[in-house]
Amino acid sequence: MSEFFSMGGFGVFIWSAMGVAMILMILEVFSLIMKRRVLIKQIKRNNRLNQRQRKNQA
Amino acid sequence: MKINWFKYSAPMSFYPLAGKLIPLFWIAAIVCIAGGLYWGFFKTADVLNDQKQYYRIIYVHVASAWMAMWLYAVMVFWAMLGLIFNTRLSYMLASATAITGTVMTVIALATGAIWGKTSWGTYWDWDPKLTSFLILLFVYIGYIALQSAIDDKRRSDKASALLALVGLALVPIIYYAVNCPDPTECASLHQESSLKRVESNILIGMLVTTLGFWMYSFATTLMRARIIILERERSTTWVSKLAEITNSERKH
Repeated sequence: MSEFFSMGGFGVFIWSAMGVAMILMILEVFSLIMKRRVLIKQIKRNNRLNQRQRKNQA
Repeated sequence: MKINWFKYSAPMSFYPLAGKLIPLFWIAAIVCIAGGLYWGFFKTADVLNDQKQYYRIIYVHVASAWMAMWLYAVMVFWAMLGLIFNTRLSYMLASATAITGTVMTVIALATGAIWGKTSWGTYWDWDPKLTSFLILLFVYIGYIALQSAIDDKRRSDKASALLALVGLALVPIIYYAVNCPDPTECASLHQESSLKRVESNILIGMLVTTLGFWMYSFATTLMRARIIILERERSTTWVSKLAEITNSERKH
């Protein structure tokens, strides 16, 4: 098992390359999910405000 | 049966379609990346001896480098479509592609640097391929920066589309840079990019991982396109009637 992870002494390089790729991709997806969540919350709040305004004007 | 392609050029009809496609692309991405890496790490023991183990970086390095260049071409395609037909959705797709392309460029540069350390003994060198790839990163960043610098969306879409088109010249430069058959005869470090030089067993892992990265790019681009659509169309009636906007809204 440790032989597999050491990869003939290149383990540090190989696993850090895989790690960098994985971390960057996960970060991208995470930021997309957060952005969508924040945006939907904003639009909802805006719509509520608009509704209230329309009610007050009526 | 005739499909009306222009129907989906309207953000209103594209938005739900993209929503349905995203999970499919995620499944394909995870299956392909996991499968490609599994093959690459467990089924290629006979090809690589211990001194050549670092070669396994190829799976993510080539996959991300190809996607970085391909996504740039895709971005230019959407930007041009936007300039020709003046369709809003094309511009939205172009800017949705840009960030995934930037991520792929960074991955390719980072994994390339790590690979370079093992095989050339240095993280970086001003080799033609490495340098032109770094410029690709700057063009991506320039495109994104230009878009956020101009407030008027119609103008920023057009200006950044032109910048993207000019930068397209980089893709063939990167592809043909180096291709130096004998490293002792020229100054470049990066080896020739040719599929013929890759062992067929490694090639399988590399191509399947690349397919997975492609599916990943589809998924993230569509996710980002949906966000851009919501941002730009937030004051329209169809957005305010979406299930994700109307649900759990407080009743007055």
